[in-house]
Amino acid sequence: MRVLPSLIGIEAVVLVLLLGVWWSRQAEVALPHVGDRAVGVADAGPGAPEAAGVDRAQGASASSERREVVVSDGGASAGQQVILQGRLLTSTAFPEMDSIRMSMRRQGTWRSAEISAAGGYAVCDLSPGTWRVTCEVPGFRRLDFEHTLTGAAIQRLDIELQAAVVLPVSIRTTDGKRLQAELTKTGLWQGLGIVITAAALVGDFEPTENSSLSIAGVGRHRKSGDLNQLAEPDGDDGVLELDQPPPVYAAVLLRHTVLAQQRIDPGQTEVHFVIDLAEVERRYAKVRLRLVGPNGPIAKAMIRLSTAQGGGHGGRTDENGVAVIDKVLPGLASFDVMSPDSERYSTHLTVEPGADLDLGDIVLTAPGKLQGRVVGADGVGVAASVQWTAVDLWRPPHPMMDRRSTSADGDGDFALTDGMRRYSMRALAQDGRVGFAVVDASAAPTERFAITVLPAHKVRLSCPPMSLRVAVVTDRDGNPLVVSRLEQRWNEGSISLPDGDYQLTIYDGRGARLGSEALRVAGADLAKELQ
Amino acid sequence: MNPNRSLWIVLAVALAIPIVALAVSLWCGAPAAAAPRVPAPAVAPAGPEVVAPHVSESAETRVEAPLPAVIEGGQAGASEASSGALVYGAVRMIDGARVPGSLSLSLVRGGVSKPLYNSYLNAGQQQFAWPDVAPGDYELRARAPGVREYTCALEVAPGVREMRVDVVLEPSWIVKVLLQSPDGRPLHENVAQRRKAQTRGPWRLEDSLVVIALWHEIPSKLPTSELRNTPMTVARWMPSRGIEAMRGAVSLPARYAGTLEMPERKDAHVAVVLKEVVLTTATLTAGQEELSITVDPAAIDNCLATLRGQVVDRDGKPLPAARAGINDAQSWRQPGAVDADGRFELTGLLPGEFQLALACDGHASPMFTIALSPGSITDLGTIVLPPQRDLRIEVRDAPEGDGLRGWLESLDAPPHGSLRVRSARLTLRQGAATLQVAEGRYRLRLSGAGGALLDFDTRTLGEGPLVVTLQPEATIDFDPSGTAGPTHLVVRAPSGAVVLDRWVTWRGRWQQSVLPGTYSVTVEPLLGAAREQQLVVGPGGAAFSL
Repeated sequence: MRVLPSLIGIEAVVLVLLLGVWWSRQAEVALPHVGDRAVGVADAGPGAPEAAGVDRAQGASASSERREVVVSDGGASAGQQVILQGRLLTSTAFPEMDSIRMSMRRQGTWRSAEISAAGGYAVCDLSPGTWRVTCEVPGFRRLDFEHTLTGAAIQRLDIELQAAVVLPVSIRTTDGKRLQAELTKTGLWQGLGIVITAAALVGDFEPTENSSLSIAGVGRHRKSGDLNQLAEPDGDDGVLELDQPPPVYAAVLLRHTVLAQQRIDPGQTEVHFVIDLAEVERRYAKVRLRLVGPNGPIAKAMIRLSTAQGGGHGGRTDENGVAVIDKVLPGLASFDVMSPDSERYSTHLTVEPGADLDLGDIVLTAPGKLQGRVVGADGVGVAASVQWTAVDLWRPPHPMMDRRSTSADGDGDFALTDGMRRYSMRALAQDGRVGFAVVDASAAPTERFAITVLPAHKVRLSCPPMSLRVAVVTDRDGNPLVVSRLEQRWNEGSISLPDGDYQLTIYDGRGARLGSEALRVAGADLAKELQ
Repeated sequence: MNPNRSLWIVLAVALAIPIVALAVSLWCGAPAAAAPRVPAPAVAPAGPEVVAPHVSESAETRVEAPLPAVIEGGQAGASEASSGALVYGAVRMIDGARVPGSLSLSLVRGGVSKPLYNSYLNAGQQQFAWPDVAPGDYELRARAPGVREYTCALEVAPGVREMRVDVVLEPSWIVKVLLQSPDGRPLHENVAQRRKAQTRGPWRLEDSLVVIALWHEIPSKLPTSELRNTPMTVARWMPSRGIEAMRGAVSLPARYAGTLEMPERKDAHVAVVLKEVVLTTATLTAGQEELSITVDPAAIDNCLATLRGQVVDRDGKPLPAARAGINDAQSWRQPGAVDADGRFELTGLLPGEFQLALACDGHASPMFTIALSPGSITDLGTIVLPPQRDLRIEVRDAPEGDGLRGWLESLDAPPHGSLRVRSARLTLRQGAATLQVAEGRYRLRLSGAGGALLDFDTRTLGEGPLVVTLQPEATIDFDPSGTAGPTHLVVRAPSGAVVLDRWVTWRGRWQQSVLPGTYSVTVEPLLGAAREQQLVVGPGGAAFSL
């Protein structure tokens, strides 16, 4: 008699254990969680596939948008290439594939998906591990989630897209005209944008170097890519795609400044902004300056204030070397002065909204020729791209002048004409080697100098979403070598540095110093979170 | 029997049943919830043969020749929901070198011009994958600076779920080219000085100085084209300077003018040309790594042309607000101002064929090309810019999307012997286009999503739009793989209208959409006689081998 109760006891234990194993298996195939962006299943349209109900019944994540089936290992193992394929599942017609953006990224590696017209996708050259997947499809909620790849050579992940709340948007002036068309009449073709957030914005964002601000938010403004349409009085201002049901907040921005915002309520079918043109014009700044060279005022010099994408406003100096530039967009501006007999003066300015900025006298040096050679550790010339920034014209949190470069030829030789200043120089070889040099060209003639490029390691940088951080790497003497700006949505970046000791200083978008630390690069990549 | 004992036995059996069921489920490794997670509509019908995908080292090492390793089939469940096959593979260089970072890989369906997929591999990327490739015949093409052009034919059979195609690339034959003046100085130093004499050209003088190569002798006179540089070459010229240098595969010391990338390692003829003017020729021997060519800068000076004229309105009154200039088909530069009498003179121009750009507010801009002979002075005399009128073209039942393309050309004779009428490309939005033209006779051609070819006179249109009805099109499959070099192809419609006129310098097949009918096709090799033949294009299309 005692055997049976013991047997039942053992069975009970075995059953519990087996249930535990079964439950854990269930957890493995359950849907991955999509962060905190809890998209309710109830939001799915009536055509949502039946499988969503399975997840709901199991009490899985409310973001039941993805289902995965991992096929067996086709021979791959850790370290080998992995392909992730699947389908973007929709309950409505699939949009044009050219308009879909899907990518995966991990530790500085970025891979984009190939999308078929029928909604199939494939991402290749991946490796086992956890990747960040982002998917933007017009008319559907943006997806941004983590997915872990195993060692299987070909793996499958079907992604179910849920329809976004799509609302037509219009931005009109107080007299009923289309604001964008009115702005193009004043020469403003860029800068206007709409962001969607879960909470109301308080104040402006930090100044951006881009023509318009890009934040992930809880939705996006989708408009025609046709530039000609910007100027059309009856043109289309596009739609707002909401990743979560209202209430949410939509704000019209001029670069980083908030022109207007409103709450979008449940049941709202369109969004209509009315903005006084004068309110936009009040954000424009005025910049005045006088250019002076060794022989006095510099006339007819060309001044340009532009965004990272170009455009912007400019003007010429008069006979007294004075220039007044109106309608300057607020934000971070690339500031260039071109005069035939002077240096190419290039730096950045932070322009406050509505500012009347008097830069005073800007003294240009005579043109100076810098001749150098990029060499490897063995002294052999190396073809490379060479960038240079005048140290005394740079200040944090501005970028260095890394959007211009000259080429060192196959012997490593290069020559460039700029001014008579101290320059921080960076050489980037095609094979990834990096080198720095600080050259004092303030006393002519400058001797030919060398930049030695060495194998480099990546310092991967990241910062919290919606924030702007600026990482400045300096050498032991405090000379700036590299500046990396992580702006809002693009909160990841990397810097390549050869082995050595550096100083890493972090600033916010307005130039406030947030911290500084010694940075040692020694034979391996590093990761830094910029808080 | 003790009733308690029976109860114990029933309980033991009751517990054993779920234990066995769970054990079997777990032992077989089939998660109970996995099956329903695959959406029902996405499950493919049963039946395809399955072969494990092959991404092992052994598969790669087996491929020694630049031939595709194709493994048909797929793994159960791997592509169940796909409507076609997953075509994927790895790319490597045959010599083990690093795969170029700017590699372009495209998959082209038999005869269709637009690739189904066009992927660019980033530096360090060695794999590609394309989903949903429907059964059929395809070409996989790989292009990159410093790499021999790669093409392989693929057949995706029905039922195949996965197909692996490994691409093994070979480095090109790259010849370093020194261009120098008779005094031994690098030619580019001389040319840079001469640039200052050049005005209003669409492109810098030194960028138009290129090296071409052909397998046969290079004629002293090359056909002109509106392109920036002559397409009459089998090689790829990569200059060391200028914007084009950015795309170069090899960084050269400053003394070199650039590299000539040859598609095959065999003897060739080489020429230094200024647009289509042959300045000097040389020969290249298979395997030669460096080539030095001497060019007299005076020959460049002698080529430069001058263009002048006067812009007037319909009444012969000068238009001082007009602008005049020339552009090639690949670049555009704002035309310059004319003088108070509407006159302009452009000097230091490259010889060749250009688009004439004349503009004045309120007046129609003529659509002409102009041929400038080397060293010539061309006086256009007075060019009349007539008043412009709006012309609206509406396509009845226009298809959605951007598949419809349109061209408009004047049927009125140009006012000067050096001018030729050119077709203007139309931008159609939702099947409609509005443009400003002069009153006159025009030919409109629409193609791509149905076709139309019609002549009309704006003077008979009145204020209304020109409404066009599309007709079903057929396709001509052109196969130029048999050509030995640049070949001129002209296709004329039954009405005499030219629907295709271009030099074919490539070997890949392409499709041209036309209205069904009998066409006249003229094929003329660069060296050789022209031949003309009739081509009947039925509703099902036709094939033509050059």
